[in-house]
Amino acid sequence: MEVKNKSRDWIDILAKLLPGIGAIIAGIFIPLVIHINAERSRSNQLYTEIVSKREMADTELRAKMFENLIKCFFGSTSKQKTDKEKLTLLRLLALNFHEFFDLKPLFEELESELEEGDRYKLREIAKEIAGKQEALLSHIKEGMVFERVLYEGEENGIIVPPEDMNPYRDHRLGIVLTEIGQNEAYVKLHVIDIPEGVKDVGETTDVNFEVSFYDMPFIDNTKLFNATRFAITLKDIVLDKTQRRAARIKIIFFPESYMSTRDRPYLDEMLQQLRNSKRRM
Amino acid sequence: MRRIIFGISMVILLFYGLALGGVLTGRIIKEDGSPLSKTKIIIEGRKVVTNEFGGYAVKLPDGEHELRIVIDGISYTSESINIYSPRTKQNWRIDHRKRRLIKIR
Repeated sequence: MEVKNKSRDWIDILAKLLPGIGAIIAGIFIPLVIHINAERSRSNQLYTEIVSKREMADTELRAKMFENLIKCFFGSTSKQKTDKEKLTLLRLLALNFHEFFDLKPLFEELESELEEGDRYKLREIAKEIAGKQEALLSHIKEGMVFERVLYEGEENGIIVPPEDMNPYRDHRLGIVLTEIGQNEAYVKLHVIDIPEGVKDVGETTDVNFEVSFYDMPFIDNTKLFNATRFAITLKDIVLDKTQRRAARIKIIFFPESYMSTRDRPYLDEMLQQLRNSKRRM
Repeated sequence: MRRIIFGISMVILLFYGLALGGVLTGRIIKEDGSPLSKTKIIIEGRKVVTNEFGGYAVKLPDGEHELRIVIDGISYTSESINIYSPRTKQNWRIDHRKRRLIKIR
């Protein structure tokens, strides 16, 4: 009987204390939580503002630089440019803007104006830029790169990835060099997309295109199903021991969602930040 | 004299016929879907070597054909195909049991 009374007393005491404790919690913790959340959202806002301002400043700088380089290149300034100066300007343009613009028309325009020796230099510039882009794409975890020497004719057609390798996201490409173009400036290719392990379909995509030294993989690439892209670059026209011409090409597979390194820090940081703030909420 | 004229005209007609021929191109795949790669085949008496992905190209006269194709010494007959100049494309799957080449997309 005494034990029962004691427990009832404790319950009474607790019942009296609970509203008080609740009031203390409500008075202290709820404003604290609200304050912390407000601080977080303020810091997120500040971060977004900083990033967008940085982006704007960078874009403005790039736009000015691009405008000035283009003006100089086309000679709207008083002095007519020499071939050497034009080569330097185009190299500057290409090195700084190769990820955003298709510079092929400029390369082609300048090529038509240049002498043989300078044309070689121009191709070297294009190869330098294409090489940079290939290197970037080669380092993607999910990318695949193949270098092949291709002779003209259907019978010399190649398949990449070869049969002894796994396909790239269910894709293999059959490539035929149909023609080596005038002045060895370009090659004509016939490319088919071969579905993996399908018995009733020979191919899914069939494209014919030209690849010149001025085609860059970031800009000149082809989309396939399964969020895949591929690009083909022309490295050289080579002669074998029998003086037979062939094209040395690079085939690069990469994910459709690939972003250039210049875009990636901003976007990655922002996405991470957004993910973090979502998790906190 | 008539025979000579007939002979010449036949030769001319033969060359004309060949000139009208189109190129038949495409791929040949095995029953399991893998390509018939780097294989010597004979299409209507013309020797052809397939490439790494089973691709082939052969010049044939225009018109409807049921092709006779020899692969590894075995003769196959294809489903009927219309060949047009300058280029006709057709992929095939080998059906060993029926000794047929089946048209595929």
